[in-house]
Amino acid sequence: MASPAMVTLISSDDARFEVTEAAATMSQTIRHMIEDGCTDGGIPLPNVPARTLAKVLEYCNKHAAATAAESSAAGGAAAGSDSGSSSSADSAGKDDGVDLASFDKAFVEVDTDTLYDLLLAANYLDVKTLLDLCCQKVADMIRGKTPEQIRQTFGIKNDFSPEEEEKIRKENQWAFE
Amino acid sequence: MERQVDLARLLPDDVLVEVLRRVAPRSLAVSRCVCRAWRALIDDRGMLHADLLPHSLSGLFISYMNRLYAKFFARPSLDYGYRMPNDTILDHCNGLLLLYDDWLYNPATDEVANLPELPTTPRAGMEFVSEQDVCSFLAFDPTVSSHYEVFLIPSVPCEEDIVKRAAGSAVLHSEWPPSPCILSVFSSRTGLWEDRSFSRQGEAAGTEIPSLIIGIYVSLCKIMIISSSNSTYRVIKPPIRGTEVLTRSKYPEFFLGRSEKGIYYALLDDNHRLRVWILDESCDQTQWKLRQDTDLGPFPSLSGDHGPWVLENVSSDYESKDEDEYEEQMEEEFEWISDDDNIPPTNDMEEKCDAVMRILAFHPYKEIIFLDRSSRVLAYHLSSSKLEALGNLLPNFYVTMHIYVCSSFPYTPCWMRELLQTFK
Repeated sequence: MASPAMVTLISSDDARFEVTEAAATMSQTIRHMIEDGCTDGGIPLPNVPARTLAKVLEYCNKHAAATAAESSAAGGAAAGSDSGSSSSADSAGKDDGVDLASFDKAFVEVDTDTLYDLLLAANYLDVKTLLDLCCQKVADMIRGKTPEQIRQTFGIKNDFSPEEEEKIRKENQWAFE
Repeated sequence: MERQVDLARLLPDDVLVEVLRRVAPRSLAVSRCVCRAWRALIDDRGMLHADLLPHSLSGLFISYMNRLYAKFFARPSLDYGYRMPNDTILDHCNGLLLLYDDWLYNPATDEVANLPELPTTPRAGMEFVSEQDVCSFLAFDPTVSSHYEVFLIPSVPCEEDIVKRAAGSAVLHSEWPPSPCILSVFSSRTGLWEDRSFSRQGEAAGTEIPSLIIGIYVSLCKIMIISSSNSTYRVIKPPIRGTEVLTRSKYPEFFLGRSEKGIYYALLDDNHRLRVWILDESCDQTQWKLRQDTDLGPFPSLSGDHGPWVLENVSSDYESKDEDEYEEQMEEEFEWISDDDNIPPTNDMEEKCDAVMRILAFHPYKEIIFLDRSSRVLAYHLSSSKLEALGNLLPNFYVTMHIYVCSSFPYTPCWMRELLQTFK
């Protein structure tokens, strides 16, 4: 089996990361750079610090590996003629799904700073599933909170006067009952 | 040192939009109050569709005992041409109707969904419940989630409890319901019926009423309040012992419903004495507070038979002959929803005391209770003790017949699209 194609990514603080092309191209931004042939001497990512890039790559590696396992399992199941192998491939696929879901859940159990960094990086690198995951996490953190609790959670300064806030609240009084 | 972050400043608008797009309307309305940047974003992108949410009462769906299809009783309006459901309504929740034979219907958007086949196997511990004794309840709150749930709740008959049907009622054994209580629940999130286990909560102090409450049961001795969000239920006693009422009143009318300040319990006895309680959960112990105690008997009859509301879709029944008659109804500005003094003057005619009186519904957002007195719908304002005539419930083909309303649902249209999809 041929060793997978590798690419080198360079963070904003000049750390170098060697990853498989399959993992790196989960980022549409990197995919386009590779397609444009800008990979000589590594791909510079001036907006992403090493700490965040490492975390993003942890996500990409996990998901790229799962995708590869899934497609090879599907291929194996299609090729295998006896029903035994096909059902075991099915269950392996399902386990991966559960595994991946719990990985995702744990992956975003981070402090708000890290979550912001991930959001920004996922947005810049254009990793759709990671962006979805982080946005959903932030949305979940907003749910059921009062305006003041939301401000505290996200360190947001209240720039409304009490009268203004009261007026805005009145506009949708139903949401506060 | 902790970095002071600010989600609004740190994140590009597009990312913040992606976040807020995933926030349900209720939290989105709250998010508008967080800071200027958030409010501007939510408003500029038109993210909060508050006008699509069920926040106004447009009328009452009325089901008659001997008529297949429900009628819609409302102020005549040209704007809202709801298509009426061609089936029996089992339940209504925030704009969605649960119809007989597992159909869901949104009259505002004319969307339908068919639920998968109901489970037939009896639940463990519930084998004594026959299929006929199961009531279906719909739970839906679009301000929290665009998903809905349907609950099948068994009613358990027993001799000593006599029950009037009201907003879903059931007769309950003294040991009923068991804990855990296994109920069949359909969730539109999964598209499946599942057995879900609900555990009984004590009379926990200050428990907040969750937004999704299903199956409020009335019997003479028990009310069951089910919370879907945390899979628990509570059993509370009604404000007055049923046996006490029965010694003095032959046909008392009990009614449980939701209105402006939470859960209400109404009792109307033979002598037209109306009592209304509110469930008070603010203090240590959940308790009923008497909101109203009025004798409706001596109220004079109200401006003859007519009011501004009419029955719609009468023509959907094959019995109907003359639909044009209804279009002659005057369109007068009649702000019954407000609490002002704009109540039509009453004449001197005394209502006969033997008039049949029933409770139809609570107004979902105002402290108003709708009553049916000899087929005339009256709105009774709790705050002002005023009674106003809304109109006649008697379809023209019933003129001489006594009609019997078997259920009524206050309808709050929900204009959100694509809530309903068909399941296999």
